[in-house]
Amino acid sequence: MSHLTVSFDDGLATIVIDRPPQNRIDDQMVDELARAFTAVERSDARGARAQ
Amino acid sequence: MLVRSEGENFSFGGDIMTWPDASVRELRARFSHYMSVFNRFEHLPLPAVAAVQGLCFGGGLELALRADVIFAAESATFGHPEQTLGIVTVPGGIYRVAERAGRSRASEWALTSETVPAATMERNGLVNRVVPDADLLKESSDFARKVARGPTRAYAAHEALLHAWAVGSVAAADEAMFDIAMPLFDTDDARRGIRSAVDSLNAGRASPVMDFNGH
Repeated sequence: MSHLTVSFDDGLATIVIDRPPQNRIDDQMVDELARAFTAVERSDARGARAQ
Repeated sequence: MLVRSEGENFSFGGDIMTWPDASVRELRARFSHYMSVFNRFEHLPLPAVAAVQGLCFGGGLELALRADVIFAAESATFGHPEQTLGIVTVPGGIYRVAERAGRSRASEWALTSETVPAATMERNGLVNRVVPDADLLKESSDFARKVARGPTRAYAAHEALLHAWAVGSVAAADEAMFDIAMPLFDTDDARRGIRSAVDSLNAGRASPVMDFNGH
């Protein structure tokens, strides 16, 4: 089971933490956050480009 | 960018179940990894909004503190429970609270592990806006979407200036200013924005709302 989802909609990136009921942070969630941040960096989400 | 959580609570914080059996070396490696991932969030070159409901404690608070702007539901509560375990705010909580809410509050909340209501956090500058519980998703999404349609290169530059100030000082941010700011004047958004404002001034009318494209 993944602990979060990442989605892109019209320039907005959304990360939803989804590990009910307490949404506690463990190794898996941190690894998924890292992948989500990479996905956001590589996306065309507005502003997600290097200066 | 919007970061939010499913369910009744944003996050209780770190999952401590495996901590008692881990060595200090293992824990150090783990927490160091957590901090570097959280800090990547803080440094993403786009505006980030965190939407917080229910409990936002410990590592959950430290994650939310990496966002640029925090929206909270009326009934949300915040806290650093670390002292109840005899440890500190390992992924960098106490000084990020101090950065937003001041040193005395950061000390008080870390020393007491008290549960702090959203309204208090808003009054002290840690939370930007408190909204009715039922409106959290809509209000935070609307704000994040509006920002995403703005001059996002300029937003990223503002974030970079705040980082320069946070890790250094006003003088350090002044030093970084022109390298960060001047490339903006070559962006499509700024060229059109400045031209439009000047044209409006010459014509004696209010500047129109710009349709920025992030380029």
